[in-house]
Amino acid sequence: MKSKLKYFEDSIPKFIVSPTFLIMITFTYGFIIWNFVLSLTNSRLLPVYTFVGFKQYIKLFSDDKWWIALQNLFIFSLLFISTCIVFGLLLAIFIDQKVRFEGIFRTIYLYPMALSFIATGTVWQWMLNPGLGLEKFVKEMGFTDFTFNWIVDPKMAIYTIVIAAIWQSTGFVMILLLAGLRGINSEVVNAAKIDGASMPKIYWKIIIPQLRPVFFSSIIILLHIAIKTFDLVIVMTKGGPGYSTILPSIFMYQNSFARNQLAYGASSAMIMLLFVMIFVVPYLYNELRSKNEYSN
Amino acid sequence: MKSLTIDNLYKSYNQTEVLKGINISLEPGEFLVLVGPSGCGKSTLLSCIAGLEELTSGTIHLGKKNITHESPKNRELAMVFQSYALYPNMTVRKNIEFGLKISKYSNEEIELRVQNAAQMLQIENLLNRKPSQLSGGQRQRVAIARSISREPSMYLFDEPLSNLDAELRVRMRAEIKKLHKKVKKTIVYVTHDQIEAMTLADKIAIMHKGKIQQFDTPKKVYEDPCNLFTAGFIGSPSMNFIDVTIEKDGDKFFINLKNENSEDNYIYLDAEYKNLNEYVGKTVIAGLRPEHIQNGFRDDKITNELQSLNANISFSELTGADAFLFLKLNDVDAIARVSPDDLKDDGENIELRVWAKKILFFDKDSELRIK
Amino acid sequence: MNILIKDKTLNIFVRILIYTLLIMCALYFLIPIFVMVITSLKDIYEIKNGNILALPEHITFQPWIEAWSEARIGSNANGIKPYFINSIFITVPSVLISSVIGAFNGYVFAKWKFKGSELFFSFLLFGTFIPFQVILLPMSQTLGTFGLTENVAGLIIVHIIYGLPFTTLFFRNFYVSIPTELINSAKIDGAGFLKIFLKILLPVSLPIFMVCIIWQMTQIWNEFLFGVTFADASTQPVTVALNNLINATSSVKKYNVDMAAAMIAVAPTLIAYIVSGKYFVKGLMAGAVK
Repeated sequence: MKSKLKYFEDSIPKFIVSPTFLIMITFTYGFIIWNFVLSLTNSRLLPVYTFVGFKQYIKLFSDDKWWIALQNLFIFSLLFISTCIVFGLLLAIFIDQKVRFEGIFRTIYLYPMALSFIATGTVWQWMLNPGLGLEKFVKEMGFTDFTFNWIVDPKMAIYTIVIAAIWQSTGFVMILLLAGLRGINSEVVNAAKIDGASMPKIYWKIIIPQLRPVFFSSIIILLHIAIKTFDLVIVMTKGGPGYSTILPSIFMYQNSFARNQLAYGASSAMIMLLFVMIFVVPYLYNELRSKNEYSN
Repeated sequence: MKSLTIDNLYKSYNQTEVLKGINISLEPGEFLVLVGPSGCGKSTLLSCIAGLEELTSGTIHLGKKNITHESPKNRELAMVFQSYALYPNMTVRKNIEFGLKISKYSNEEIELRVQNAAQMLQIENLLNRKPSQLSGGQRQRVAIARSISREPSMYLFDEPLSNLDAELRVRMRAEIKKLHKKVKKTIVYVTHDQIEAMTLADKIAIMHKGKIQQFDTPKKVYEDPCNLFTAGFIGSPSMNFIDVTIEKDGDKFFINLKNENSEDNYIYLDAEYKNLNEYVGKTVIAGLRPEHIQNGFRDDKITNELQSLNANISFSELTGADAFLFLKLNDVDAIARVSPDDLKDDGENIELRVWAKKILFFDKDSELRIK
Repeated sequence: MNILIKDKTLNIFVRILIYTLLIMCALYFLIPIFVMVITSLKDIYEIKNGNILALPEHITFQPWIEAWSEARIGSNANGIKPYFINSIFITVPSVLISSVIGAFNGYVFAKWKFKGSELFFSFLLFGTFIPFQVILLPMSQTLGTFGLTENVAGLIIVHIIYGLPFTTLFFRNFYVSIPTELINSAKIDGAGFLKIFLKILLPVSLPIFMVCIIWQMTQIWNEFLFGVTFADASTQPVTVALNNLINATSSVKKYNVDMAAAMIAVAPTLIAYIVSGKYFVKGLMAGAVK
């Protein structure tokens, strides 16, 4: 039998993490359940717990604006993730070429991550200001026919968000890929050189395939950033012009707080969670499982 | 000095049993070595003795005290780890003082113990350095000094020499043996190196797959192994194992060791075998240590007991002091350890001498020793 | 034309190409902040009549003064200063408290595992991925009930709660890399849970504290969603105030003031980044190596 003292000693660690446990149960998982419950009600301005089944969800997927939001999210994510990865990879490869001033370049490419999305959105919506921004600059350089009014064009506005987001997040991907590049065993590269392969071929056939895990992590993280994108849109376009740049996060916020449709907003939030879970849960499961295998 | 008694210790991780019925009884002041291949459970057993792991069932007694469920600090132990485990942010002196301060000894007592331990391990000049400024061997000594200063009832060593280079290892082995003579305390020492086990131990416990295969003095483990595993684990190069058929000529047993040229070598067994009769006509495993196949130029006293063995040398290794001849007997690779003088070349036949009295036999199925 | 291009020439050509591309990319990243700075130093006449990349002809700090203490944000005309101060009151306690708790949690998950602790940790880890939209409504109901929206305490509590998974992750990964034999040795020396933490782990924890603090500071200072949902007009952080300024519909657009306000808003995190970029990078990497 364990002595009383031993029981006490063994309980201290559990005691220390118990507040976090309670917080997590209540404010994360408890709230998710609460939100789900809300989404099954008819609540408008205040929560009212009369259950109406999945009525809100049906309404959601018959709502044009929600479909616009999903479409925008798809376009945004695709462009954002692929451009950040390609751009980040190129930057990482170039920086890895033993350039001088590497530290300075890295600092410059990464500093946007230190800024809030609001600040980023502020400066980009200024630069893309039709009439006073870059459009005017290029016109005054002589290209008098140049127009760049994407930000007020319903069809093109979403791409301005993409541009700003890429500017902010490429540095992050670059850092991850640079670390990945540096973790590659140089002996493998040397063996390939002796075998006669040229550097581009070595990159394409040997180095980049070895970066697969880093690509995976980067894509998951970028996807996560894309789904959460809210600040950038709010400050650059407020979801406009009209509803052309609305995203699920904006949709949720507007319905929950501006339009007093609590339950409706709650349902859109649940769908957002679902999206994240579809990607993240298998990824996390795989990661944790392989880590445990190694440690055993 | 206190004795160590372990009764029927079992330990499982989840559903896997890693220690199966461990029984040990050590006299006060004895040096016990737990030796075995990776995964045999020796480090787990040490952790249980230390109180760092909980056992599933069984008891541990240090002297008269039942320490089975005590926390490590109440077991009067000190432990030296494979990686030395020196606290990186403290000086050597502070490292040694750490445990003493927790036990609330007076400052004079602490200073006395620190000096004592430092002198014994010859590290007085290192007291104000940090671990990062020390070599491997120096860190090792600090780790030992730290455990000495606690003046425990028992010392535990967890593969302390594994991280040292070969030469340093030999020297530190001698240091540890000298230390044992000085402090005269009970020691439990874990290693996978059977040479360390043989040279340091008063008692050896050979472990395999969670069980103690044999618990005996080094001499007995070497000369009188109880099963195939023990026989093969101790000794380098390891014992030769050759399948043979037991035959009888009148009331004398004999076996045949056919060499590469298919020539017979009939070896008469002149030792006493109580149970060999049951195996006449059957195949058993014969165990013969390399040094018991000689070229006859060594010990005069046993010349009468040597029987001849004609073999073909596949190839040979010369270490300077010995020569290892690689032979094939009954289609099995065997090694003979002979004197390096007057040797034949590779590929040639040589007449060797077998000390038949030293041949051991093992049951092919149970792998147990046939006495 | 030489058919054979010597290796050396090719090498030099390639290196020039690399440097050129790197510099061009650097310009792409630097231009926005360059624009922010120069716009904030121009008067409104220059902005309307000049072009966006031109240096100011007359440097004026008036936009900065206005942004700081005079600009109209919401229903007040006190500039961004009160909201800047709000952000300080929100960020400092949140960062410190979440980091300390995270340190203890990380210590337990790394070195004092118990039955179910790995599962617990996995669930905690998942918490770093959830889109916060899904707790927005329940949290606003809760904060409303306890009257915590009129008080920065509300936002502080929120940031601590949702910052714990990250801080715990940082410390747990860090402490995992410290050899367990060190802990075992201390246990045998007689040290208990707290003593081992204070005397052995904490002295070597400065790097991870720096990483954690810089990361949390950046996250919390730059945060917008919680700020816009859970704060009222007097407790809003600087990000919300900046957005209100930029998107104010009722006044004449003063781009120079907007930019000055943005510069003020990013100053703390930008300075932290420039001064301790090394820790910032480590934080990003640690966050990614989940």
